[in-house]
Amino acid sequence: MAAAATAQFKDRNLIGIIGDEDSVTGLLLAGIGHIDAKQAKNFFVVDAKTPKEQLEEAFSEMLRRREMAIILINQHVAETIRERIEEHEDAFPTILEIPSKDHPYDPSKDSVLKRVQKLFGSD
Amino acid sequence: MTKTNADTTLIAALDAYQHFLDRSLASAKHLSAAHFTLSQARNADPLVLGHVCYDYRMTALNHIACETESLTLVPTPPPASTQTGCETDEEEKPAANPLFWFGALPKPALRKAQTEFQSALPDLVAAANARLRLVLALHRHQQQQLK
Repeated sequence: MAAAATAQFKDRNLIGIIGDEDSVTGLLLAGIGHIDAKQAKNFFVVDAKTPKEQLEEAFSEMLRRREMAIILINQHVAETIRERIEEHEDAFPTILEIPSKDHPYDPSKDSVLKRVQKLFGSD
Repeated sequence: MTKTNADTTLIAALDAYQHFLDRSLASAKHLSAAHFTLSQARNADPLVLGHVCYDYRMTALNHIACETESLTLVPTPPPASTQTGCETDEEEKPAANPLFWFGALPKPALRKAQTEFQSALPDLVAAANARLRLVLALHRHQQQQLK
């Protein structure tokens, strides 16, 4: 059981990013971009025309990858797939909602706040 | 009034949430400043600054060292390759520095934008760490309540 728990996180070394072009470009400039031998990317650019199904699939794919430690996602993008994000309760990969150029970070919309609010609801 | 184990885990979860909130707001502020510099770079340079310029041979220059309850940012030395994407050998090598995806002579505004996003990374990892600890604290509290 301990070995399985260790295997769960020891290979996780990448930061993924799902966001608009500015957010992805900026963070790729910072050096987090990675494309492996199978051409799997750790980033996904979202625009106004990106279908919700494609976004959900990109998010699910990043969750499945064992090398993902952190997934950064613009909060306004996260709103589009809020149910999928709330379904993810595991520690890894850690999902972090971040602001974009046009959408500031709003703590009240963060999925983790709802989990904290449940503490008060259940006590 | 004695504290039950459930009280202890609840307090730990609430402390973790406050820490996460502080880290998130700090990283958000830093990212907003970085976005501003990128906008300035866009205005300063007519070159396209988007996904059409990405080098699809890229490798990460910053990795994460993942432990049970912590994430650490680990800069990784770039692979031995030419600094720019210019073709000087038989086989074109990927630019080690993403700055050179957007031109052989990047403008100061773009260099500044890169510096800002690079300096925002530790804040983002700190916020991710805080979120990880919060999720684990919530999980412990839920398990305590089931007892």
